[in-house]
Amino acid sequence: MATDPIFLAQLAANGLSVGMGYALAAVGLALIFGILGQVNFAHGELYMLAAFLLLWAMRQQGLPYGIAGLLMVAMMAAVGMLLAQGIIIPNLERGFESVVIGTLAVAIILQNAVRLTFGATPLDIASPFEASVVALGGVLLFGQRLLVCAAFVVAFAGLAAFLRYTELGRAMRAMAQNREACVMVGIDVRRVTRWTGALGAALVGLAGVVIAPLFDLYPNMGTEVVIKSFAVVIIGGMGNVWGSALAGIALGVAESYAGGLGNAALRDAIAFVVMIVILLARPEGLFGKSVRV
Amino acid sequence: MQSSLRGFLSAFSLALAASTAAAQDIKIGVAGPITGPLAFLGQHIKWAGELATDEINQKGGLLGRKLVFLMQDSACRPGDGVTAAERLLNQDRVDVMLGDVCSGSTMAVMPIMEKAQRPFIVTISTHPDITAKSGAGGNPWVFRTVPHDGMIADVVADKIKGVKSIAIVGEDTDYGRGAVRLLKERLPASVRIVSEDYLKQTETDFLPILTRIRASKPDAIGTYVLDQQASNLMRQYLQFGLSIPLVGRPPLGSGVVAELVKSGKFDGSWTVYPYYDKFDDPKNEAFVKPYIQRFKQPPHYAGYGVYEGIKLYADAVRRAGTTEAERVREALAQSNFDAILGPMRFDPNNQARSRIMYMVIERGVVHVKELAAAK
Amino acid sequence: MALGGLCLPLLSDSAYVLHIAVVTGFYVILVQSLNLVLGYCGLLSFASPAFFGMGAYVATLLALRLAWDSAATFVLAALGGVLTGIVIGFPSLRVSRHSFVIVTLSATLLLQLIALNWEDMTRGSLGLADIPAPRFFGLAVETRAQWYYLSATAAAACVFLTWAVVSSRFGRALIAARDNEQLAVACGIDVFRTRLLAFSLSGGLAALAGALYAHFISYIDPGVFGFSVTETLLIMVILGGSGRLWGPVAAAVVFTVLPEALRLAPEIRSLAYGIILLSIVLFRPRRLFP
Repeated sequence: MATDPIFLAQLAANGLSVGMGYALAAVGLALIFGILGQVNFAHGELYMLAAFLLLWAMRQQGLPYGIAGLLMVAMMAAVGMLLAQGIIIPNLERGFESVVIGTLAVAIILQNAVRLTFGATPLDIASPFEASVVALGGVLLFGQRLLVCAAFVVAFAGLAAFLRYTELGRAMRAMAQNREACVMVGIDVRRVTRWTGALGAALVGLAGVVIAPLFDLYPNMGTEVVIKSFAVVIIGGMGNVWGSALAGIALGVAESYAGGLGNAALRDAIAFVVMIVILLARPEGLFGKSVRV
Repeated sequence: MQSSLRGFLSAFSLALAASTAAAQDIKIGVAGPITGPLAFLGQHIKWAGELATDEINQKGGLLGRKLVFLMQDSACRPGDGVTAAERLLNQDRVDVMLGDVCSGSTMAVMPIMEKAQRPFIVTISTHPDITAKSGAGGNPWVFRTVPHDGMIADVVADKIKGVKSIAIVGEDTDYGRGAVRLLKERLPASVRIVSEDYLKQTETDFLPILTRIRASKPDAIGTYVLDQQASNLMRQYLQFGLSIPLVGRPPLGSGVVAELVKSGKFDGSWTVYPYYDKFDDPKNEAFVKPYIQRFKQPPHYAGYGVYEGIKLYADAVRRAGTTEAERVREALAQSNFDAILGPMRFDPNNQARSRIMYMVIERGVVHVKELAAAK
Repeated sequence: MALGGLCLPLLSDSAYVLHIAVVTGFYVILVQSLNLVLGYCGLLSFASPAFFGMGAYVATLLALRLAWDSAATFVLAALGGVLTGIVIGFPSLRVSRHSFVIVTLSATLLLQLIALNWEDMTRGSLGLADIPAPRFFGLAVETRAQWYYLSATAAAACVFLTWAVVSSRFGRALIAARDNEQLAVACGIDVFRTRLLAFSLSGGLAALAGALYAHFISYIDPGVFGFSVTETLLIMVILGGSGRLWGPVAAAVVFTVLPEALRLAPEIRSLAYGIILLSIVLFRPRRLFP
């Protein structure tokens, strides 16, 4: 069985799609980390919030999946901007600790507000892509997971172009390198902070919109996402956009083979062992520090 | 949003109004998961507790006194469970406690109940050690209404005989690991276990495991996960187009997977469970109907346990004619309670020898095939 | 207040009040452990549950399997924590500050996986129940009042130890390395060794708290390696003022009692807790205690 090519190819396909999901979920954390130097502990809860808002838009407002999804990404951008304005900007000069507690508090509030509003019973989002399965020479490709891959490509290409070619994107990269220097050359640090928050939350919102229909929704669903995202961000090198992409995919593939050839416990263990080994060999992460595209 | 917001506000105001019990009331306490990954079970505990106490109060209460149900958050962790129990026992002065969902938390509370000398009715946790430690096993205050994992494993082992090879998928807790260990002890030599996977309770992705199962083609998948994990497993199973029955203890009767079961793709899957809400019986209907009417959801097994636990306690208090703990304990031990699944009596270890349901899916419908008697 | 603290068991016979007081003592110890790393090394560590769980398992296994006296098992549990600190610290203190976070987190999760899978030793997820009352040289600690004095004594000793360490020459080296690593190196401070010592000491303290917890709750399972304790500790140390001695101690008391007070409204308790935390960050951003 272990040498059956279809079996091995299926594991590769699974790993790639799961890994692209990891990368997509993590890149928002990477941006806030890389550009603002802040740890967003509410990252997983933003993912959860996006999923529940999507559910609300579809069930209660009757919007189709595509439109509701785009609307949610925009709404999450607004939430991110609010978060940046309320918690990050007042603490810009104070180091990371206040933001850790502030975002932790937001995470607790979001989890419980969602529980009290939607109830704790697992819910699910009906996506039109869910039922479709493509068989490619015995290897199964799943519709919703292909959508995750597409969202991954679009998000990363768009992000790279944004960071390279727009004035705001260049200002973000500059801030990642040296905030004091930014102030001196007249970059509005608060404005860049707000937009970084918006961009980070919009990206994790997009992840929630495309990934959440795969699984059941419940108020604690973000906790698993945040741990994986941390790992991806650090292996990839703080805030390195392509680094996050590659680290996410590498983690997804490594887990897939460990789980497929070994067992579930090995899958969990191998991810962390690989991570520790990589960090020992390359302390700044696989692809070096700072926001690069 | 409006209806959601209204739900939120009403939950908020209800919470503020809660726990206004008077000194002469009879108080029933439970430490359970209000928050955390198992919060949806905690929700059923709360609902069932309120339903049972309201029903009793509408009929004039217990010994003419009002019954009050108090729940504190344990997040299903032993440390928090103990703290919540101490609060309920010493601050709210509850007369009786019900057990938590997670066996770890239930077992950590057991010695406290012994110290406090108040009855502890375990209605959800299934760890066999709880029974071993109760009644003649040492702690006379603990009673268990649900069958434990060993009793259920007896029935599973009996039904699994025809299967030649089985892949195990379980949650990495005492529930998954413990139940599988007990099953293995009882498994006939003809059944071969091709793989064993234990996943974190929060894991949602079953791709690597299903890929392996698709290649190894076992006769059955022994499923030992709770509702929301089972829902994720079954959804991904559908995408893989598998037709290997789920057996053992998949929560096939749960409302969370009801739509998936209807698809007909799980025909031939079976489970052994302590309870199923669509069990066709007038006594069951008397419980389920008002439950759905009030909470818009069929009761979960956790809710059933709490409901019966409270009714059992009320029965014991009536027979004892007092809420005095020692007398109630004696009355509980001599229960011959008219439970939904038949008369409930306790063995020397204070374990109810309740009947256990064997259910099979046929054409997208769950059928109760047998009410197995516990050994 | 100190007098009130001494006499608490005389003032209140509520097992609940004493229970919270005992748990507060555990948190005071844990806060010392995290403060040494976060406050005095300036490193965000997620290894607290690793130490805590290690101490809980070492003490429990020695008590259950060998029935050793707690004086010995507690010392060995603390040593287990120190050793864990060295094993985790040796690789993780060589990597960057950011990587340190994830290496400590990974190490904790790995230890949890080991506790789950090494079933012959730990009984895995079935957990270990009936952990007996601790006995020091034959003297059992059984009643809540006795537990209170044990917990208070241990907490006071750990605060004293932390004070002694951070105000020593070694502590000054630690702070110098935190504030300016290059300068510290230039002064001849071996930054790696200094931090490794502090990290392993932090491990010993948390392990002691774990040993106390295991005997107090009487049941443990691999959940003791869980992430939730880290969250609580971060709140206590950061809002108390990391790198200071008494602020985090006061915060440990406040943030153990606050969630208990909020049990008045069990449904919205966690929500209220989150709102209070956020309000503190927004309206009193410096630190909670003068």
